[in-house]
Amino acid sequence: MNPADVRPPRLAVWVARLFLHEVDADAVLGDLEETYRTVHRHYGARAARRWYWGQVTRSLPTFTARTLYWSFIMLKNYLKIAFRTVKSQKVYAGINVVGLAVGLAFCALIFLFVRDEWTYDRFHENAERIYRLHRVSYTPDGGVRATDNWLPMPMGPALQQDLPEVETYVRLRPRTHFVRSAAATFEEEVLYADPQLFEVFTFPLQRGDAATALADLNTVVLSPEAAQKYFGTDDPIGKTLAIRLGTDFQDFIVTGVAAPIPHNSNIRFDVLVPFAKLADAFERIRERAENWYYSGFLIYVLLKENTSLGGMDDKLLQFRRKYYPDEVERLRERGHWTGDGVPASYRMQALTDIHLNPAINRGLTPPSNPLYSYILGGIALAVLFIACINFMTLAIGRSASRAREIGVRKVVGAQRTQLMGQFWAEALLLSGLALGLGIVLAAVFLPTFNTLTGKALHFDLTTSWATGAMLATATLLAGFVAGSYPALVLSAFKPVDTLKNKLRLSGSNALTRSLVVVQFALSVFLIISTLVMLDQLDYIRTTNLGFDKEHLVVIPTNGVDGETALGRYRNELGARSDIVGITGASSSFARGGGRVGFDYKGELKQVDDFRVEHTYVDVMGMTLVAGRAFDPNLSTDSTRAVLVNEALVRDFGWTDPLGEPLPGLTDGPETDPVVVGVLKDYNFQSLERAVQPLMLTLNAGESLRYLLVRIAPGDVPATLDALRAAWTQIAPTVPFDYSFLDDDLNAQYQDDERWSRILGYASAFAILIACLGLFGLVALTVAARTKEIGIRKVMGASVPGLAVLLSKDFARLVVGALVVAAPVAYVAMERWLATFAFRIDLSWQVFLLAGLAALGIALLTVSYQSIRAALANPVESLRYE
Amino acid sequence: MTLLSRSEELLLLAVWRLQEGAYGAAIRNHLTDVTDEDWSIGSVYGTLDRLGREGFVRTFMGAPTPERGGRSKRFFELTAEGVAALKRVRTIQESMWENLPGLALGGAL
Repeated sequence: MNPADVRPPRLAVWVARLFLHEVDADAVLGDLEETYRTVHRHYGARAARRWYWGQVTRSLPTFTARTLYWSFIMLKNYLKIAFRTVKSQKVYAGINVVGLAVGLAFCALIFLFVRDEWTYDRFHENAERIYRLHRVSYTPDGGVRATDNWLPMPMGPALQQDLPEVETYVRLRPRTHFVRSAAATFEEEVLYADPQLFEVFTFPLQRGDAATALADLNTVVLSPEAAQKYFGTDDPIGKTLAIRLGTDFQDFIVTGVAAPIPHNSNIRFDVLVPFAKLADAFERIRERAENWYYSGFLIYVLLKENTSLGGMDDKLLQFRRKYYPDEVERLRERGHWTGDGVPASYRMQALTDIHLNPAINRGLTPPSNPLYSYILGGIALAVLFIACINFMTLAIGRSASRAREIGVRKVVGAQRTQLMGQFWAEALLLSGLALGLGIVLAAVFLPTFNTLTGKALHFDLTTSWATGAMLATATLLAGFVAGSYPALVLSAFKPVDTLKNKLRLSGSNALTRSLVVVQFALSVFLIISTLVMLDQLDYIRTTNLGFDKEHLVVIPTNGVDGETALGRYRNELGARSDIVGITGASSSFARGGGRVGFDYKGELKQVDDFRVEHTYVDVMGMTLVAGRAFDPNLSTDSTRAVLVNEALVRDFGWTDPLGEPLPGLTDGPETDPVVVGVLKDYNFQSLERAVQPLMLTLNAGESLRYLLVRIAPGDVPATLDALRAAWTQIAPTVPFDYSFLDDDLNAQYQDDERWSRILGYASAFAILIACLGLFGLVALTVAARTKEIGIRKVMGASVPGLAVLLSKDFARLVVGALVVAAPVAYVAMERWLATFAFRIDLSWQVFLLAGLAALGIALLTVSYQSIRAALANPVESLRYE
Repeated sequence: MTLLSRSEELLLLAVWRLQEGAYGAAIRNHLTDVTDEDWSIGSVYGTLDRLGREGFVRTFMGAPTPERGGRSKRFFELTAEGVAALKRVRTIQESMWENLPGLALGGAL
């Protein structure tokens, strides 16, 4: 047999190779094969195979140990060389490190944000078993009309009684009261809660006994902040706290202080009072404690362990039917229900689902749109990606100078895998340095980020392994991705080609070009988005709302009788020259409102209803388009006159609205209010919504809950002092509380404002990193073209001509990026603008501006290098060899 | 300085004996012939690695040959330290063996 045909068993060779390090796999396998042939010759094929397998299996432990040893040696070597490379290329390394550091810092901050969002309420030990109930009402064709989680009071005990799955329930109700201790008085949101709260949720007490803390009616549990606020450093247990319920202060004994509530908790409280106190203190509630038509309470249930939710929807429907037996008939009779299905039922919502489900209306804290997490995550990844691209483009740019190094290394025996290891080690070293800088940046920018996002995030790597793990993963990933081009492509160069200068490598090739385009496209996209958002927000701020929002002080009466307060304000301040007008209303803009629904010719109409004082239209600066305003001298106005807006006229299909009655609001047609005037549409709600039908009626009784004072623009603090002084005389026990209407209105767009700022930062950083990369790339290109530039100069090229020549290429790339980014940004921003009923139109100027900005910044970056190269003495560049 | 182990000693001696022909397979075959035990290639390389780290042997790569499937040989060569270490164990051994009581009687005590 020809010795060349004698081959050792393939599987055994494969196994051996698996455990051998590449540095000596060749020698060892060669030895084995050589001896195998000898054994084969003397003892035959079977014996040789057995011998080979025996050798391999017996050698595996030493093979493994040697492999580990060699890997370690190589790693040390890689890092040593990597350190030298980095040291010799400071600018290049600096660009990469800074870019990656910013990317990683972004990732860290946004990771904190996203984790906070997605771990809401998971700290409760029973989190998996806690559900919140909500009512779903349906349209006749079976669609969901609305959801509501404010439910009737008797429903809690009824659930526990009727559903075997329910272990216990907790009802919650927040109410704003004045709270007073010997040291201080504050207006405070007091949370009424069933005492089982401590059993269902994980709110441990620092002081006091959870089992008995809320057992008595006049007990109160405080948060540590509230305890500090009312009692300072004194021990609050057993002390008295007075809470104003209705008109009088009542004393409560402090029986507990809770441990600090985690920031990502939906349920928060500062002052916790037994739920039963509600019915005890308020007659209105006491009368309706068993009323299923009086809602306003959040109901949570704790399910028994190992309960399945299967069939729960059916059970809840039965439950609904039991307590609203004649619901369908009643609604049908009034013409509100025409369908065959059910008009309403209940659903359970998992506690952990509450925060990120904006489809169900707000409970104690507003839900958050999970879209925010996705957008922020996307921005972080985009910035990190841009930084990784820098890494790659610069590596490609430097490939010309490194090609020779690679050739030499290969000639002296470097394996391709070793070169790959070398390049990856370099990339990982740089990303490791970036990680250090990134952590510092993240810590520095955390307060800013907290302000931007409205969160209270902490950045502590020692306690949060998840953040550390995320950062480590991102670093490794960035290093791996960033090093992949040199590792995979450069390592494949043929040594002969590199040494003979056969490879024509310039500073930039097709791949670099497209990567730069991607970078700038992302940057331009972010710039356009920021500009559009700023534009829209500016439009919102400056658009004419249909009333005068400037210099209007809003004073909530906080339970003080509005009519009395208004009268006394007028008497005391009416003559002052800095008070332009004083009026009152049942609600102020951006502070909620009342809505009435009534049956108008067989159709259910929803109308927003403001009860106002007769000077309201005048003081607010609204415009009448027909009829007249309220007249205090007409006694019928207070009962039967109503002002409506144009939207209502359109909705009701009136052609001549004056004198039209609004039927169904009172008992009979004789008392129905009649339209006396039509107001030009004004935006009493956020500009996200079109103007809804609205009516104004004259106030009666206690309905004035806000005083509205129009002041002169002069000395605002002095005017406010006068308002405060007058208030203290009217209601000495109630603190003076005020805001400016324009601030209230702007607060409605807080989210949008926040997002525009976040995007602003993101685009600034994105363009910064992209420019860093461009700077490095231009430097490399210029270096590669040194000789060409020298020759051109000798031949008579001018400095500006050369600068243009060098910049032109990059300008083209940025223009390309604009072409890519503009349509994407257009679609994205159209979708965002679609959420506003009142919006700007996307103009080409924005795109032009963003493009010019990106181009300008890019050219500025490029020009430094290109002008320097163009100015250089050609002798220098031509002598350079 | 620790003494050479028996296998280290044998390996160094094999490298010395084989001179220019001291590469993995030859060393293993030589040891197998002399000791009449089937040495594993792993233990040969493992021990030689250790000796290399101690500075007793040097190593270099040779040219590939067809009977090895076109793979290169890894050659080993004694260093001066290696020779010194071998001499040292020999001296110790000889002094240990010297004048052992009853040795002349064939070990029968």
